[in-house]
Amino acid sequence: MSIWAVIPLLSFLAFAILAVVVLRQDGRRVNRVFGLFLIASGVWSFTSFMLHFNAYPQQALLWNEILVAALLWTAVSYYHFVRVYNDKPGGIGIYIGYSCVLTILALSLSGYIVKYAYIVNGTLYHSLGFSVYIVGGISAVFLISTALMLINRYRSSFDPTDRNRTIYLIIGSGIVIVSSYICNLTPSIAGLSIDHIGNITNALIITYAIMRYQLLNVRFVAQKVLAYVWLISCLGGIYAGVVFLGQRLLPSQPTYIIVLRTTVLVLILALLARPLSHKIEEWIDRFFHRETYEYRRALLGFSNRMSNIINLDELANEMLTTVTKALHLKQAKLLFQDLSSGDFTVHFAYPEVEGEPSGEIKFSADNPIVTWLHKENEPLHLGPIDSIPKFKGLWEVEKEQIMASNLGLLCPIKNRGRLIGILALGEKESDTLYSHDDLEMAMSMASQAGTIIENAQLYSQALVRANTDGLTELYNHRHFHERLEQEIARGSRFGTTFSLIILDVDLFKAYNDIHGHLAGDEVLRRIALCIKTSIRGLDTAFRYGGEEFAIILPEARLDDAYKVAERIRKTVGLKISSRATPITVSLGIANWPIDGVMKEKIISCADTALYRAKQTGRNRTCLSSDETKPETPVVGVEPEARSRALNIIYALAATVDAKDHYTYGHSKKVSDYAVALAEALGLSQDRIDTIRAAGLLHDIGKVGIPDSTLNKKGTLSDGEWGLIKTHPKLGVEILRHVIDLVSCLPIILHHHEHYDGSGYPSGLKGDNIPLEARILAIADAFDAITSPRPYRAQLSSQQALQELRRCAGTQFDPELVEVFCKVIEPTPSKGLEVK
Amino acid sequence: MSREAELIVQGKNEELWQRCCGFIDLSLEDCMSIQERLLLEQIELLKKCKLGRSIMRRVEPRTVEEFRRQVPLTTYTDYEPFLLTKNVRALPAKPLFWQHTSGRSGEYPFKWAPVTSRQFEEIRSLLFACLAFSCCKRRGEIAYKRKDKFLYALAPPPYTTGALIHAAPYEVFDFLPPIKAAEDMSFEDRVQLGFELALSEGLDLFFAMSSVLVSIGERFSQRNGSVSIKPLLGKPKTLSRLLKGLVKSRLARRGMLPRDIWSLKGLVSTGSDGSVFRERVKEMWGRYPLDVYGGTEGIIMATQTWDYQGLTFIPHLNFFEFIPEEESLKSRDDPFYQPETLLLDEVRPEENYELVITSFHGGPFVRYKLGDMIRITSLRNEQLGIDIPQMRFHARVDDMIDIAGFTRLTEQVIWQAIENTGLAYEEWTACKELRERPVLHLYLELKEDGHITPEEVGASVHEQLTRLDAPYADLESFIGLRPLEVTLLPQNAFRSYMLRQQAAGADLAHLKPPHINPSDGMIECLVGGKVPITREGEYEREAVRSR
Repeated sequence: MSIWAVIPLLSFLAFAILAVVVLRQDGRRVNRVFGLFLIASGVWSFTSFMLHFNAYPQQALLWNEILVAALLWTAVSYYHFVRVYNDKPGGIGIYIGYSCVLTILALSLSGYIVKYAYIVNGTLYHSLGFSVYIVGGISAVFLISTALMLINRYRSSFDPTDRNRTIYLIIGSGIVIVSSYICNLTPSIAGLSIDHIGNITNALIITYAIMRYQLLNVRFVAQKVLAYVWLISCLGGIYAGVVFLGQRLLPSQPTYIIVLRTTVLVLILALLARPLSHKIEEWIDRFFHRETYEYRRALLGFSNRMSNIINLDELANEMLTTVTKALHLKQAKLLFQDLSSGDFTVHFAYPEVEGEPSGEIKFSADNPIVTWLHKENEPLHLGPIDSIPKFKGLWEVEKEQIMASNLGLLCPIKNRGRLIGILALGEKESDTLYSHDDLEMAMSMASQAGTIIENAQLYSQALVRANTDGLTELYNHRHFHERLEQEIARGSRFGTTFSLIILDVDLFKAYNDIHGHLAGDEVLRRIALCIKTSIRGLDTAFRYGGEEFAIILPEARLDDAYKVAERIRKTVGLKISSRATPITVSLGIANWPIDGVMKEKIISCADTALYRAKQTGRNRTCLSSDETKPETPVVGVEPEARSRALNIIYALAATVDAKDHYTYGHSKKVSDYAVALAEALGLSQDRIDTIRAAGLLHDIGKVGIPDSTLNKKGTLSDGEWGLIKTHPKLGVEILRHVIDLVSCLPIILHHHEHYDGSGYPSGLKGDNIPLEARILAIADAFDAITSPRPYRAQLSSQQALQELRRCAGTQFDPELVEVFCKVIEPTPSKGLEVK
Repeated sequence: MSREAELIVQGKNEELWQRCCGFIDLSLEDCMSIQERLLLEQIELLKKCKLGRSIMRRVEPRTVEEFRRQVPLTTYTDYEPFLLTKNVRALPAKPLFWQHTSGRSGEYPFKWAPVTSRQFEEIRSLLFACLAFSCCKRRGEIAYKRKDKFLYALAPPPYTTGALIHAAPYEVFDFLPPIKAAEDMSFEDRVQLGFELALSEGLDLFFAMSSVLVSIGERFSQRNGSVSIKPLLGKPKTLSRLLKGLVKSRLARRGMLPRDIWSLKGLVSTGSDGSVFRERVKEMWGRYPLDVYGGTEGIIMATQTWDYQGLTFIPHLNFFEFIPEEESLKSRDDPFYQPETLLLDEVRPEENYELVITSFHGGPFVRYKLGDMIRITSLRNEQLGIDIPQMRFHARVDDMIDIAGFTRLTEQVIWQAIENTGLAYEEWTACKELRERPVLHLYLELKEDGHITPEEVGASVHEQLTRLDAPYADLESFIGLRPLEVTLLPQNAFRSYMLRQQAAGADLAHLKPPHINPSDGMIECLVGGKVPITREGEYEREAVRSR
């Protein structure tokens, strides 16, 4: 037996097993046709084996005759398989091909093709004559058509998996063509079964494609079987090769010795196959899949470095650099969800393209792409996105945005099933499509990064929260000091300047007292928004504390800062202030290094300027360094007009007193009592002045109440009581337009509140009632009790104090009552004289 | 070459199926998400154009709910100032072309509607889908192939079906005759030439109005198997086909039918009468036609799939709202009543709804009442595993009668036709009846009985209708359909009806039957049978009545 007979034998066995495995699968057409190709190849190998085995030399001619037809059959059936694989119908070529096979078989068996054939010393001697070129030509047509079909498919396909499958088929076809024609057209190697080696290599390549890329629908168990066939074939090949070499190199050795030694060698090899397989795999990877090997290395490096990173910027940089370099991409981007809008926007890009806005692409939270990425665990190709029904809901502008972004692939980054980011890959530098390995690497990276990114995001969010004021979403007081120090350091290093604006809301306490703290919070939020929209991109705004804000303006001189400050002041006046609720702000500006180089000094200068703005009438901007800077006038209210308004108000107060001669002088007396109590409490002069004015004006709302009700002698009806109770609010309505009296408004509004919450108009309780209003309530009651009224007799001062004590804790603040009693009681000379 | 054509050429059938037919695999939730998103996009387009601002009464809805609450339902009258004048600048998007359907006689001859390029792209994809559904036997199968012979017997452009043929895959299939060559031909000449070519070259795919399919089939059977051999001697392919058909028909002992000559891969039909002609088409052509529900305003709204049962809504071309039947009736009685609508995921099976659409992709129609009553046959197609509700056309709900998709006759045009005959008549009413073919049934009470036959009246009215309404005239010339049938009512039929109604205490508005689409009961009463009295608010009108 010739050693060359071993190769077709092995080839036949491999094809036979493959055919059984494939044909036992489901009845898909492509499987059946592939099975047919395997059978044809098996028949070809078997006839070749029988020819070279030469068991019956007289049959050599017969096997050679069949062999010629089997060779053509193999080529035609492979063409058939590739057509079906390409979803193309049979076509006329198939019928012609199979007809040719039958014709050649008939002609061959009739002796028209092979004239003679015999084996001498393992070498085939035969005469095929001119007809061999006909058979070769027909085979060539089919094989070349097959290769062209595969190349076309490869070029038109956008699916990397499909391209990978196809490339294996192309390589396999190439090997078959080359081996067949080299073998048969090169006399020196004719008859050496090179064509069988080529064909079995093709089968092994297809088997590999089946296992790795699911070329055919073959189940897992079947894949294992194929894997063993592959292994056995390799070992068999080695076995045959060694025997052949042994025969050639050691011609003196008996064949059985060579076979025995080779068998031992192959057995040892088989035992070592498993441990060696990993090493071989690595070599193969490096040799055939250099890129895959590089990917793995890149991925491994990325994994190692990731464990030490918590900062999102560093992580993003590391991830984008690695993936861009490893996959040879033009660009890669990382998209994260904005907390406010929920949209996924570009946060990081590598490499940054100059002039390209980082937010040129965004996916809204309800974008079907986001929904898809959230549900699926695989990358999304943006190329064929038009063909996926789930994306029919995409807006035209969204599609255009995707097209313009030059992105090709989106990989979901998830943690615990939640989409936390998107790794967006741009086109490859070579403008080729992503390979299967590209996708695997990108997804591996995305899945590894999920937890780390979420941690980094949480860390980043915690940092932001720690530096942010919850109400206004501006930076907070702590961060203000940090940034101010940084700015001073920067200025010292680079010789730059910066300005600081401190802003205070005018009479904010009064606003809070009148409208409540919730309304006050809303005003602060809106002022913060006004500041944000009025400053430059490089300026930073802070909530300094309470109703004070600060703005750091890098590289801004005083006059620049003044412009910004005025813009803020005017914006507040336009957007927040209204006739019913005037809101104004005062601003003070200082500059570094003109007003000082130390942090404390610069703050103090800005504060001083702010104080001056307050002192000179509020609603204006003052500079610390320039005392002569003209002050901005109070918008809308001229000083003279204001003075006239005040005179009118006091005249009105006198009119109220005059309406009822019983209450004549009541306002003046209440004002005096209240001031006395305030002084006893040690309040500041500002507050005492406010209480004095409030005392004079506290009943001004009564101008809106009919005299008949005010002077009624009998019991008041519910309706009349209702009217009386409106006078604090009426008073506020009358006075709210006079900015100078704004601080009196909460006192007037709440001077009928009861300490236990049973008063009016707001039903405030305890310390929620402004202190000044509690003072005024006591003063008002004391004067009312000690004055004659149409409905009751006048009481003495002592009786009035007793009444106050009786109502302490319910109607009045008990602590204030005690102080007031002390003010009134001790000695007539020290206390106030009751008239 | 369009992407779909490229995919066919490249043999990428899987991707082609997903791209064109994949919408049937969407869940109802996915469908609603698509509906919502595309509606919000359309609202943004409407906000920026004059038509949109006018139709939406200057409101700017931000959600689907706000849209349904704030924007009123519309009819074509609302669009007349923009569409009849083809005011392109007022539209949400620039049109690619305009198409029309028959309008209201005496008011405007055609209803014009623009088609945008985005709509056109979707239509193209849907045409591939309809062809695929008509050819396949299982999910994912693309049975047509390049160079298949494609015959189309549709109205010429700018009629909707004719205009849409431009979206057809002419780069891929062999059109009979080629579209370019057919542009200047009349409908009859085009169909004639198409069939001659089909006899010679073969026929794989056929797209036609259902009435045309039947009409052509009848012409074949009327030949009674007689084929003149002599003129065909120079056309061996045609001759061999006809001989094959002849042999088949002789063996079956019947007249020759189209199915004896051709074995079609796919057959697609349009028109509201699809269900009526379905069995006859199967008998003649050897397979059921795939019914596609569309129109000038909604273009393609639903399609059958390969089980030829209910039609599946297409979620990405129009936003669908459904007015329950009772609400629809209320709005007919009171034009100012704004009925409540349901969405695709709120409809119930075996119930009728008036369909309301809003165009996507820059189309002009907003909450537009099509005037079609549809029936939800089921919430999903169990057999094919389609999760989108299934429907079928049920009836027209307005004062028009649609005949074979060719014409929509109004009360005015019928009335005018009767007047023009010069006959002395008392009163009349008309409705559509579906037997083997659609029939326009006119019930007429003459002032003097006995001196004229119904056939004579029918001939006179038919002649007048032919003069007054060109599409009506086309019915006879294109498909040989003469739909008018006249029943002369006995003397005092209408008076008796009124007396009955009065006696039963019927509302003033219901004393007389309407001129268009009276109910079965009303007609029975007029012709002399017993009838249930219609009380106010009850609905027993059926525009299309099968007998």
